[in-house]
Amino acid sequence: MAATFGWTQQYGASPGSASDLGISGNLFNFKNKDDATAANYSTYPITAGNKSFEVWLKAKFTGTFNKIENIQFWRSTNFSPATGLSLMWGPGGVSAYATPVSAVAKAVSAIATSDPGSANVSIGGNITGNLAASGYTDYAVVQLVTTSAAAAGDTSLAIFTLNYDES
Amino acid sequence: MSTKTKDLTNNKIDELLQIRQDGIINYCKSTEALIKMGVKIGKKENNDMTVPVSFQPYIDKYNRSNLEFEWKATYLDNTIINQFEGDSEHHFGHIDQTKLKSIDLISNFTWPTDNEEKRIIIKLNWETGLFEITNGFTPQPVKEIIHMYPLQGEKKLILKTRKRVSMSQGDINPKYKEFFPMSDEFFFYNRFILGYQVANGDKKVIIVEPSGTIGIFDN
Repeated sequence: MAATFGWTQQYGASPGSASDLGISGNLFNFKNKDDATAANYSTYPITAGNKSFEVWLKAKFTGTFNKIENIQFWRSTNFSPATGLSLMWGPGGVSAYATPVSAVAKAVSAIATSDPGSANVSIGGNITGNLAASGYTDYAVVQLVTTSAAAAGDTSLAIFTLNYDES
Repeated sequence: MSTKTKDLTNNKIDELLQIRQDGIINYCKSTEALIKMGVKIGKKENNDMTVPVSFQPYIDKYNRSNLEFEWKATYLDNTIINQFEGDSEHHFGHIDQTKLKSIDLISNFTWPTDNEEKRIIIKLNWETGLFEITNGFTPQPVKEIIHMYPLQGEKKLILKTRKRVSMSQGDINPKYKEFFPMSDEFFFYNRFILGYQVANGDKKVIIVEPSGTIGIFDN
């Protein structure tokens, strides 16, 4: 088989734990808690005007391949409605894990909302890096930032896309 | 209830019916357009895959790894190395470029044509540096570039697959789920890149869409 791709979330106090999320379905939720389950978000809601805990995602590749490179990550579809909601992330990827927080830390830029055209997530600390064997990319750290205008209740879907080159 | 109030209610119902109808039509149109592009839409709960009409004649024995194309390298002594050999798989690193005669991308689905050959075959002739295309759709401006003017100098092979996968965060609000149970979808889209680069950095590279459309790769 060619390379097998899946999402992994790193969570917990540094050095943290890795949880394989899979590739489809509701893989995670933004909430006021650092864990790796899409459940319990209603137990840990984000109060309007606050931020979620960071979610530290990374792409995991296993299987047979020569090289994985050119990792591009962006938000394909926004929440609907999106009033009072914005998604931030750590541009370029983050190579060193740190315990997730609900303050401004790694997610300092608005997330890309279209194909960035070139790699925007590093591998091994290098934006032009690659994987030549099973392993992980660096982290895409995402965080939901809300204002007081955010509506009460669940947010809707948002779709995230990962693009990579495999040889 | 006054007549005026009743009319407003009817107007509201009509407005909601129109919004709903527009939503359904937009859903159908966008799904059709995605599928025609070669985007595969999967449903997590049953792993059903909605595939493009052009993929309906998928050739079972070639339907592996969810790849619409696979490669075949032919060496100067006419021996062949296939991407898939039985249960094993080769990758780019297994190709000996010093012995290369040609390299093909071959579709794993049939192409609607009267030709005897029903698959799409895109051959890069390593000796001439030009492409030969059987079936598929090649826009006229692209034909000129890939069939003429080979680049001079020692060639380095470019062969890779650009893969796009999309996943969702969040879910449809539970209170809406009974009205629209279709969530948990995932989307993926493969494109196939083949060509070469010469010493001065010039490249002649094509990108093949999963629907069989061939373009120039300039990224």
